[in-house]
Amino acid sequence: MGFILRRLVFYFGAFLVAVVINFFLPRMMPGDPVDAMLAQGARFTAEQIANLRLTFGVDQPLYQQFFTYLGDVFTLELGHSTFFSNMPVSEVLANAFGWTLFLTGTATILAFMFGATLGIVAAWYRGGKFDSIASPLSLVLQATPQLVFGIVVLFSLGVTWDLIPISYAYDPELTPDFTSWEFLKNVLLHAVGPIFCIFIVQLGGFLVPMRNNMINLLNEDYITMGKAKGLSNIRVMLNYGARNAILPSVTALSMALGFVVGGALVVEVIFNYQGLGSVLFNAIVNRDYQLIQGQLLIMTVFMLAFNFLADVLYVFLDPRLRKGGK
Amino acid sequence: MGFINLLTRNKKALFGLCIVGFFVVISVFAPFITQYDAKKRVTKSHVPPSEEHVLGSTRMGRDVFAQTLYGGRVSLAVGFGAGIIVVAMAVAIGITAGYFGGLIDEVLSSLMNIMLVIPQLPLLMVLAAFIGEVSPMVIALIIGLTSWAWGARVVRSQTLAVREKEFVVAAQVLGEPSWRIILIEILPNLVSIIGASFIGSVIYAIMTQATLEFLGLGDPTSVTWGTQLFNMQKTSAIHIGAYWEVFSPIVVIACVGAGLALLNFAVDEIANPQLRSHVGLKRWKQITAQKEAEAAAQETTAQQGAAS
Amino acid sequence: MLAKLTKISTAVAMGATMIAGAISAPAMAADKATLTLVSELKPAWVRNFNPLTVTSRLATTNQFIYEPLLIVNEIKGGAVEYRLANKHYFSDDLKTVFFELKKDVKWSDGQAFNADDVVYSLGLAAAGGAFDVAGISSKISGVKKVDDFKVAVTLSEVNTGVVSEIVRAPIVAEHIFSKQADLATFANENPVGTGPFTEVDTFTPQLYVQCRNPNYYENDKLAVDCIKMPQLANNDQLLAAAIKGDLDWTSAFIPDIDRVLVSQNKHYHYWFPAAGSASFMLNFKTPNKDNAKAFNDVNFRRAFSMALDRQAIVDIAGYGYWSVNEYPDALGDQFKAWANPDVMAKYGKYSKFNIEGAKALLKEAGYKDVDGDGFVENKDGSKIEFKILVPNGWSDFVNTVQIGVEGLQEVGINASVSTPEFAILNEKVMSADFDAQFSNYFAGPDPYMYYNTAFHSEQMDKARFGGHHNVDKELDKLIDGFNKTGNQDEKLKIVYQIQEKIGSNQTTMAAMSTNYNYQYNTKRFTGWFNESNPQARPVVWPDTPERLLHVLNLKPVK
Repeated sequence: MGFILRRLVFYFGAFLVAVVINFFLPRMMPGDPVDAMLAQGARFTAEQIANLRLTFGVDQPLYQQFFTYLGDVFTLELGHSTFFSNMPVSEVLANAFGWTLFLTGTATILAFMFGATLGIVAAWYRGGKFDSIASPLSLVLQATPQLVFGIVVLFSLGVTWDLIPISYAYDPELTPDFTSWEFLKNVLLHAVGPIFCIFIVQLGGFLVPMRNNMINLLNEDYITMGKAKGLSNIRVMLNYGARNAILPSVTALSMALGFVVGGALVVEVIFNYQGLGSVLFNAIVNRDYQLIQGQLLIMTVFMLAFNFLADVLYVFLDPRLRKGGK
Repeated sequence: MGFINLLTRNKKALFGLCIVGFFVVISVFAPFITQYDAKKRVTKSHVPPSEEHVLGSTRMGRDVFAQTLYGGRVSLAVGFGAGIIVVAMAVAIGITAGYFGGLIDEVLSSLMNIMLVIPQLPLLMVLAAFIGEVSPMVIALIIGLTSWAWGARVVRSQTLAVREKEFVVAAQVLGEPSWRIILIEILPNLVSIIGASFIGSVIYAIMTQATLEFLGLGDPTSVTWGTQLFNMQKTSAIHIGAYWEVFSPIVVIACVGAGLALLNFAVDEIANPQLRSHVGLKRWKQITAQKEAEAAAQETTAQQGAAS
Repeated sequence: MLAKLTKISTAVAMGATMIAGAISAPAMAADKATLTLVSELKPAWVRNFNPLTVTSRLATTNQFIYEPLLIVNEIKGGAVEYRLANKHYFSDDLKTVFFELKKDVKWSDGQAFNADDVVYSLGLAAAGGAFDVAGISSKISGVKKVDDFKVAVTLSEVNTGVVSEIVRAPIVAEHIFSKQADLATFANENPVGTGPFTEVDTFTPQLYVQCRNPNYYENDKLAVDCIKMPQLANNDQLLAAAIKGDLDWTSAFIPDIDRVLVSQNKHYHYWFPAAGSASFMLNFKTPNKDNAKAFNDVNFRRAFSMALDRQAIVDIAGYGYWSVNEYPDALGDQFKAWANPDVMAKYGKYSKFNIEGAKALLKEAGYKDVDGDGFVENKDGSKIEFKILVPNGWSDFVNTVQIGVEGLQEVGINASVSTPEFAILNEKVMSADFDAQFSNYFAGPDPYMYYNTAFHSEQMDKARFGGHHNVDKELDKLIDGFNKTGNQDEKLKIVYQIQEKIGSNQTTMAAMSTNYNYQYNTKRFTGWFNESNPQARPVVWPDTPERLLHVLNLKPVK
């Protein structure tokens, strides 16, 4: 298919651009890992500092670092983190990846399910009480930063009422064991706060477009016909309306999942959750170049992959495009 | 104009505008509302709200109320400033791509799409760290310069649609210069989209600025809602229960966000008249009402039947 | 939809197994006395006990696994506490230091410790480069074995203060380290050491435990069986764990500690001994010609100093943890014993908060507000206006400078705060491309390190400490002279002269002495160092060798 192929070429181009940007951006930041250590109060003499710079290899010329990096990207060798005690970057990211995916994935899918359902209801009863409260409210929620929900939940549920833990993905005293119910319960308890904050902000992002699509569709003739044929409200709503209105939302969901990797940074920092967001934050603060570029790379790859998925879904799900294809 | 019409007809828009207007007014007239200097120590550390200090004080003994008012000046200015930059770039790039098409469109569209796939917040964080000591002005600038892609994409597709309209084609045939066609014929048709994109950008800029500053990437000596949160966190206000310091900036950010969102909801409704819940829906309402009445009647008969 | 869910759950499970993979059940006998400490904040533990890799090695490697030759006790004016060595002395020409080693020390694998280990370890340092972690290669020229238990270190030049630096080089086991192909990547997962805790009992990314060395030469004195290190990523997490009572020994900055921690858990106590001093300074070589006129006038600097509300700085910016520093040379309380009473009497008044005095002094010296903007101008009417640099993110220092600026503006000096990134600030200060800055200093066992880094002209382009860029060759000579003699009285005389020079010139404007952060929990252990038992610096961070003395002093609560 020409369309898909064209998109593929574009995504590959975008990937290359991102690869270059990912290399130069972190290196444009002032200071290096040694400065970061000094800035955090490490007590070194001038001689010690010079020796430390040797161990970090930050004295190689930039173009040499760049070509090493280019080769590494395509062999998926992402180097070693300075902040995480010389751990391979791929390992650091792999450890954090699951947690972030769990947080944002759960929140996004919940938001999609609730948002789409409520959107359909709001569209059906447009102008009614539910619509006139839920639709603007969800937009308002969407306009409120995660930062605000994060601090409010942390302050009220976390610190003041002590209902939920205020940091970690699970109690560090516990031995991680994903077959034990005790452990899973602990993980869930730790995830409630962060998931809620991400969920609530995303809810509007699914509700309002769903409602608007649905309203546009409800004005189409075949809906009228369905109604005129005497089909029940629910059947018209679901079979005729929702099935078509949901298509744009599915592609939106796919794109939202592309943001999953980077979308929870603030919430993770506030709740001290060990996902990619807090890893990236630490990496930036500590000038951990390899880690920053590895992380940005993963994020762009994720974005591109899900954008591509959205394109493909769009082609296959949109009946008009499908017909044209045949 | 349409805007005033909209306000008088749409309660949501009026309400949103009132909220935003309220905060703009109280920040502009901050010196008349509080006698305190937001950057000076005026009392002891972490004093709870009292008559003298309505919203209490910070660790540094600064008046939280004054900080919130003066902080609003900067935060709102950053929001609107960044919003203007975003919209200016989005309109310029979007119309150029959409109107001229061809190679120009190819290049600009690729640029938009690449900007869209680079993760925003990390990019901003790295940029902020790169520039170092980012004053609110600089934050407005970098938000503006990195966030135009979405708006540009929308403007471009709308331009594509308008370009095919008869009046544009007619103008082209008459040999009017491109700049005139763009300004006189096309731009007015994009007003509602530009408006929505502007409000969206303002919301985004205010949120992002607060987030960046909260993470410690701003200039801690400026007074904004974001630095208020940063200082609050740095001095353990959460742990010692200084709720006044925690909630003042939070409530204000949330309110301004809500106000702008309501405005945006209304602008969306003008852009897409079908969404307006009270226009052109009579037909469906009648059908539904009829069906429901029938159903209710059936139900009551059924119930009556069951009861008897 | 369903497919996506499964994908996610597999990914989650994958992430989980990666974490779970490294875990073994932490089995610990209940009757062992286990001390929980936080000597490093990290996002995950990675097993590395190689003391030659400064950025990767765990913070409990030095002292707890690899004992030093001796410990210079900073709080006791540099008193020497012998560890692997039992004696050290200089040759008559002061060009060689001899270390005599203890004869009953064994490595934890049972091998005998002797001069070969020391020669090997100091040899690595002398060779310079990445393994010279103490940064001493330029100061020592060679290391020789005299006999099995005596080592001679030859110095590049006379330097009586060098011992405290030499002993910071880790002493490793020659029979292990010399066999490694690449010391830079050697992780030393099962360390063989001379210290008290060499046996790694448990190791997970969240927690590790080091237990008693069966061959430790002072096992009779050691009452702590194991040390336990929970992984904590930042101060907030540390605080939460401390409130729960999980931690015994920490050195974190906790704002408002009485309200936040001590009131929540009665077993917690703290002690904040004075650390280094911290001062404002004006750049004598500022590129701004108009500012330079004022900055090079001692009266302007004195007025600046008098405008600083030091008590407010200590109480508000420092939470009362710091101490007011009113020494004309910013020496600070930690070196009280070295202070020259004459200098204090002569110039002390310029280091006391006095707004009226500062205004009067400015007026007397000819600074007037010519253009009516509320700020004074130079005698020739040119403007004085400058920014005081302080690193971004150093919140307590940023607050300090803000309080300082309030006073300065009140006396009519147009100063403001600027918070560049640390690296940018460093760059600007070292190259003298700035107006004013605020800086802290590291203390050391005697005032030498402070004077050398803050006032010696050779140090000014090496670090941010000498940012005033005021070159005084006579002062350089005095500072150099300090370590050319081994005589304590002579050293004191030199310090007195140094103080007269700096104090009369008001080269810097002292603000406060900062503090060491230290919190301890008396529920499980006693014998903690504190105000009434000030035996050594109590800090648990890895750059505090005295922590070894501390751990040997602890006894479990019965």
